[in-house]
Amino acid sequence: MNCQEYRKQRLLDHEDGTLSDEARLHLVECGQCQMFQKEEERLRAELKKLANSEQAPVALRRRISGMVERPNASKRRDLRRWMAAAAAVVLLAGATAGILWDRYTPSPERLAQAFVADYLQYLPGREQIAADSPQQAEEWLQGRVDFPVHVPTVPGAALKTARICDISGRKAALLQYHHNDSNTSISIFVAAEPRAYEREKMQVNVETSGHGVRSVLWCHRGLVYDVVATLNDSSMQQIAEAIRQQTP
Amino acid sequence: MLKNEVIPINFDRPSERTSLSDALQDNLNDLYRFALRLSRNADEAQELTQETAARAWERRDTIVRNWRAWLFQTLYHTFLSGKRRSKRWREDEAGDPEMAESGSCADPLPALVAAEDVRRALESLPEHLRIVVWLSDAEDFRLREIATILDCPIGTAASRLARARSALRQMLSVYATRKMRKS
Repeated sequence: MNCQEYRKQRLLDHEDGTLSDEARLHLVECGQCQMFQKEEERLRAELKKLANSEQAPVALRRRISGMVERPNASKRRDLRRWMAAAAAVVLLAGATAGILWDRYTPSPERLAQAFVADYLQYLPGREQIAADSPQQAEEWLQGRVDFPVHVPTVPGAALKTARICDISGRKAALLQYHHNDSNTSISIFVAAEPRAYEREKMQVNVETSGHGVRSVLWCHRGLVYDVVATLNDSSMQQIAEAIRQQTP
Repeated sequence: MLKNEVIPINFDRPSERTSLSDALQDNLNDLYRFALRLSRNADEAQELTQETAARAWERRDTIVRNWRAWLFQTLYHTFLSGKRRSKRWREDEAGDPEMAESGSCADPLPALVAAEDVRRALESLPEHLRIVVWLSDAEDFRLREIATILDCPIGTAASRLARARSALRQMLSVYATRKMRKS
């Protein structure tokens, strides 16, 4: 084992908490690597010293404590949520009559904006899985959403995760891919097509861009698809076309 | 070349009884420091930390195995969201013009290192190197956790860590040499 190999392996061995026998032997015999290790430990100590000298401002700590320790505010928020849920029930009752529902169906443009907003504000959510394959993602999504999701292969990108998100009050499946060339992420949203679109036989094909993000949204056989990414127009169209060709 | 590996993210297995409230209080200094490394500005670091806490609090029903890593990941995502929305973020990927990413691994650290030099050297690193070395060496995250927080392969994280350490040693050595010449 030479010094370069030792130093590379040390990173990974350190990660696992143990040093391999070969690496240990090299360290015992190599003065340069012993010095290198000492320097690494000194650098680490200096960074820790810097960290220990930096504290969150007292005012920040107070604001965050206030936010997480307000039981009354929490109760008021719960009450508002209850009222919102009750209102949602009323709306749903109205939908059965087919009168109120259409007023709250977002337009395709609004829906696209909601997908983009989720892309911009994405946080790790409660229902999420790292997906090694489209099949694994499809199996995971089954039962979690009440529409079939065919997970497409995206050219030049690798599937990373599947998750459930809430878009304009509807459950949507979100598939995240890592685009190799640009080192950015591509989000593909799939949701049930609003009945208003079907009823009005809307030809939905919306392209939007803003905040450096592009969105291509369309409907196909009862589902809404939206591709959201920070790619150029040509790449977006290629991806959308590839997905269209794969969807049953 | 180190082998790339994708780390699964699984937030569905609870094994800690710590609440999010406790985790926020316990890790606030660490989160603020990470925000400082990202934004390189104290006011913006405060805003970023506060926004992160608010967003995390909205998701407090999430079942999380590792609160600390989850909070750091949330902060990083909040930072990226801010970058996408605001044109005033300019990422200085060029870093310090004297820094060579493939700098000599043999640069020894000076005998005495000033905290201000460490901060300066750190802030001169390109963001993708700065945050990896900070998460590893200052915040004691393992490479697997860093890969999860930053959503990159473990090999990439390891490679960046090695390059960052090398670059920091080189810069600290340069600063020390300059000081000696001045005196």
